[in-house]
Amino acid sequence: MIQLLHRKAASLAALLLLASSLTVICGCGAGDIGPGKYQVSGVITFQGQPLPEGEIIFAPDASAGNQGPACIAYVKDGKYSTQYGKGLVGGAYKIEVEGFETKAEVDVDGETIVAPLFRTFVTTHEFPQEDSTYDLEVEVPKKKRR
Amino acid sequence: MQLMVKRNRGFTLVELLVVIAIIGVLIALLLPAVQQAREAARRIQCVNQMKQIGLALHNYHDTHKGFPPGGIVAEKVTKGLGDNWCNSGSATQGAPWTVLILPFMEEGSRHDQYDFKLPLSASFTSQVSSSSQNYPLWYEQNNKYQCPSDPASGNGVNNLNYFGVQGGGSSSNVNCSGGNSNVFFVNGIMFANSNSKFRDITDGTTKTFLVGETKYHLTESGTTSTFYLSWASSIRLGTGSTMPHPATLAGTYEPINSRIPTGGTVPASGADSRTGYSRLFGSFHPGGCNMLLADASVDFTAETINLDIYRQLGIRNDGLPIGGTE
Repeated sequence: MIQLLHRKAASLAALLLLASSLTVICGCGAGDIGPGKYQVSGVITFQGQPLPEGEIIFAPDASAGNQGPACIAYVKDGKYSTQYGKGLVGGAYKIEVEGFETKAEVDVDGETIVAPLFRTFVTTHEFPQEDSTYDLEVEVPKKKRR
Repeated sequence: MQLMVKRNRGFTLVELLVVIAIIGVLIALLLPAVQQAREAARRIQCVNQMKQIGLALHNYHDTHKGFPPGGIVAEKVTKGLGDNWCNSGSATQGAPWTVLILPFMEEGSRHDQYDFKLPLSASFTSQVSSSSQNYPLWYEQNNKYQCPSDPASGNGVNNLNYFGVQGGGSSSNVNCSGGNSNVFFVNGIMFANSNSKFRDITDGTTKTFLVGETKYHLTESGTTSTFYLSWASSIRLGTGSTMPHPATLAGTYEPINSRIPTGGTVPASGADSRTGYSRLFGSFHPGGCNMLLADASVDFTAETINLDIYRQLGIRNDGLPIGGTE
């Protein structure tokens, strides 16, 4: 009788160990992708036309009490979207937009000539805590040649 | 008594299962550690090389009473915001900080081969005359500037994994920007024609970046263009139709690791023609990059760091508390 009890206890212990080891091996499933998990995409226009090339820095607006990692979205033919896993946390954001145009010719060194279209355009926007779309129009008082 | 002896002769199934389960748990604990061991070792070597660079810069400061200039240029560097000095000048200029600190990195013989009265090559396409004694030095590999986590390191590649911090901030802090998306700052410690001393770092040496790690230096194999740089590249000034390049310097402008890499051994998919390597820092280590502070300590900075804090750490004299805004 006592032997049987011992056996039961031993098998119970073995089962527990097996279960815990399986949990450790398999982990706790696919994890979270990090703080910036909300993707944002949209259309960006400059002087009524889609912005050919550019980049947008999304930085949480500290002066509005928002904190989190900043991220970059590349603009191509007026469209942009943040990279997977490097999105927004939502809330108030400061947005810095730069636009470029790639010239057809290359310079004497064989490097593609890329000219800025305008001085960096800065704006703010309140993003929701979910994937969203945000279209913006770059407002520059006057095109500055540099 | 006889019965007991008979029973202890072998292991029961339950006992075997228990042992197997214990071994399983131990392996499960060990396996992730083993898989990261090689990268951890490379990362430690990368940090040690950075500390050597920090010591070299401090010894340079003790000898020459100031940090080396980020790069020597023949033209006058104006210190305003949105200036235009970087868009006019010769394509080859004087020595960058990476060459100037060579005697303090036990590379004195390499340093002696340079003729510092003559310009140094800037890029593969902006070379000095092939008769110049500085010409072949541009192509040589220098493993003291190669982080082992970078796939391009070794193999005779002349890449650079450590950029001097010329400053930082938002677009309104940019001193000079050229046609390309590369930027010049003058609010850091090492920038064009700088002569910073410890007393100029009024934010404190523990709160100012001096050198940062990078995976954006343009290597021959990592970019789609023929335009690439060396660890010994001089600053390249633009001429209107050509674009200026800080070459061995960068600023804390964009978040760490946010761009598509232009280093490494193969061009990353989606790499574009804009080579804004001077806008940010980054590394092949997951999650962030190592930054050398002005007190020669190395801090692994996470890529999720608040952008305002990161930008302020690049500036030597913003006069703001960490994380404070104007």
